[in-house]
Amino acid sequence: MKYRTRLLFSEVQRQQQMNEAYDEELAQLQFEQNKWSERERIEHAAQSQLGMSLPESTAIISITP
Amino acid sequence: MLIIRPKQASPDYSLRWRLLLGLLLTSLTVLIGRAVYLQALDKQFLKHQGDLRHVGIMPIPAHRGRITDRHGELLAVSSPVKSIWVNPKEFLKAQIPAEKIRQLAAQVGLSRDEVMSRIGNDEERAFVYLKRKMNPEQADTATGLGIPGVYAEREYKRYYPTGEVAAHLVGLTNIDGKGQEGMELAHDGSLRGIDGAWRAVRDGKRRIIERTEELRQPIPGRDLALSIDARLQYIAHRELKSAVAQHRARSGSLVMLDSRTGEVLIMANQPAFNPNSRGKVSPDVSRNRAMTDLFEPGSTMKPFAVACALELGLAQPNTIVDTNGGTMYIGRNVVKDVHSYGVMDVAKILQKSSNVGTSKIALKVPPRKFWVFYHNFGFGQPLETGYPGEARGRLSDYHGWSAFEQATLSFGYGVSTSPLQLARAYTVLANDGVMPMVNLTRLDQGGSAHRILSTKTASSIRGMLERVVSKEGTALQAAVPGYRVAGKTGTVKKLGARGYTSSRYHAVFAGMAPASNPRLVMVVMIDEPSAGDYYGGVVAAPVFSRVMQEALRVLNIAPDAPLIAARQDSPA
Repeated sequence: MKYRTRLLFSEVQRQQQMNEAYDEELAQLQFEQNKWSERERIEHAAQSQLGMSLPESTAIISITP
Repeated sequence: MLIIRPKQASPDYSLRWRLLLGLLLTSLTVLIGRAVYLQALDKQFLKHQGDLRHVGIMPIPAHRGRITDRHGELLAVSSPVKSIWVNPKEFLKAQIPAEKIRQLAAQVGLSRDEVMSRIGNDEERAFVYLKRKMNPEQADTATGLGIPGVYAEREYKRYYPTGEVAAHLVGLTNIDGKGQEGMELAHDGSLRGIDGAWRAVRDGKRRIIERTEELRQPIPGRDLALSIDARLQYIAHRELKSAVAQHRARSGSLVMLDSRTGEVLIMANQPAFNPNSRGKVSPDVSRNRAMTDLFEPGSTMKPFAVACALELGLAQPNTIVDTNGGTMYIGRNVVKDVHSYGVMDVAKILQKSSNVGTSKIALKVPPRKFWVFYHNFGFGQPLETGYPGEARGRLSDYHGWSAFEQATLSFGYGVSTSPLQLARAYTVLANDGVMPMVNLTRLDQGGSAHRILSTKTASSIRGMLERVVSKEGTALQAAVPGYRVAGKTGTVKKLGARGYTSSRYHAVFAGMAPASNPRLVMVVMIDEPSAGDYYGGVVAAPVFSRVMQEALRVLNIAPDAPLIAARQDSPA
């Protein structure tokens, strides 16, 4: 009984450690995603690298249903 | 022969025997009794004492809930980190070679001397943090050096992905993960969760030798969805920052409300701070001015004074008022206009922002009714958002009012409000007379609202405010191409040590769009612009225009005005 408990306990521990590792990785990835998707960066890239600009209001046609 | 041996009196040992037996029995009973006492009766106490010495309850930190914007974009998130702590008792006893300490120091990013001074030389201490909240990998390498007395502890670090953009509203936590400011503090209870615990067995030197069981699982905190829209928040942050810099202002605030639901879509302040760098942030920078700071709203109050007279039938939009060449005497005091406008109707009084005209209209209203009206618009009334440090504003009691005071109240002096309170009052005009409760968190079903004004008066005032945003009005620069905009400027003299100053101002603009059926209400307040311009229509209105234009586009709100060429060359 005690042996089984220990065995299961170590399994729980192992899984928890894996969980922690995934948590850490997730946080790291979220951090990266956020860095890359920073609005300032995107705005700058869109304007300078892709040559995009906001359409003039005269260039917008709105269709009302 | 009979030998008679003298009868030897055999000594009677039976008494000794009994005595010995008795003694043995007694001691046995005492021992058994004691054993029973210890085992059965005193067990609880002794076990507890033993546990105190050998079993430790270690906390498992709960994951703090995330804070997101209304669309789920992350504004604050806790990521797992590790803290290195040292047991000086063990550490000092172990006589660690200098080389090892140098390696440890390198891992935690401190110098050898710093490490040693943190640990100190008190052999009785059993706990000292060496480095908190570090990269988990580095922490593992540090504990992997095998130095006795060096341990790692799991913690969470709060990270704010949007940085300074929404810093004021979101707030901060302290190093122990407790909410300190802003929404982090307001909703600390539900964000925090409940820490778990595990039981550890220690040896005589208080080292952890066995991790026995988990007593309870940590319960993670609940996520919190704010009402703000991160896309709009960013636009506002950018525009406000550049305006404050351009006009060399002391500070600035911008709030936008959804006029129907009362949800706060934007709350931006300048100066801002980066919540991720844990330097010293002075309250002057970290304050959420849009909610905590009060100012006199000046001319932006005029629509309410006029609405009051209109609602009570004491004036009509086309009522003619003579502004007496721009000067009006009330007792010993004088109310002045910048220019003399002569005879005007009510609509034109708002358009030109005449103090004399507004005073004349306001003085038709009995003080009590006037007070009730302002009160109902929420001036001097708490916002009830639960936000820590939320300002309530001030509206003095009508009993002490003189006619002059009522006149000054009509053009926004003698009453103080936070930018958010002013925006709330404008939702009444935008929302056909109904004021929704202000919400800082996303509403998933309709909130409560109160009717303050009749639909007729609200739409009539809105029509007048639309004329403010025109060539003849004071706020042409608030115009948004393709949309009808209604709003009011304010250029408010600041109160100095000796009364009102003549060189320091608040530049304010409060407005809404699209005016035909308003969806968005915005207040822009720039404190002490000092680069030359200081008029609300020149300093605050352009910020309104730029932010509103992008907000209408982002939120996909249909234009309600034909594009007029004349409006094109207004600075967009």
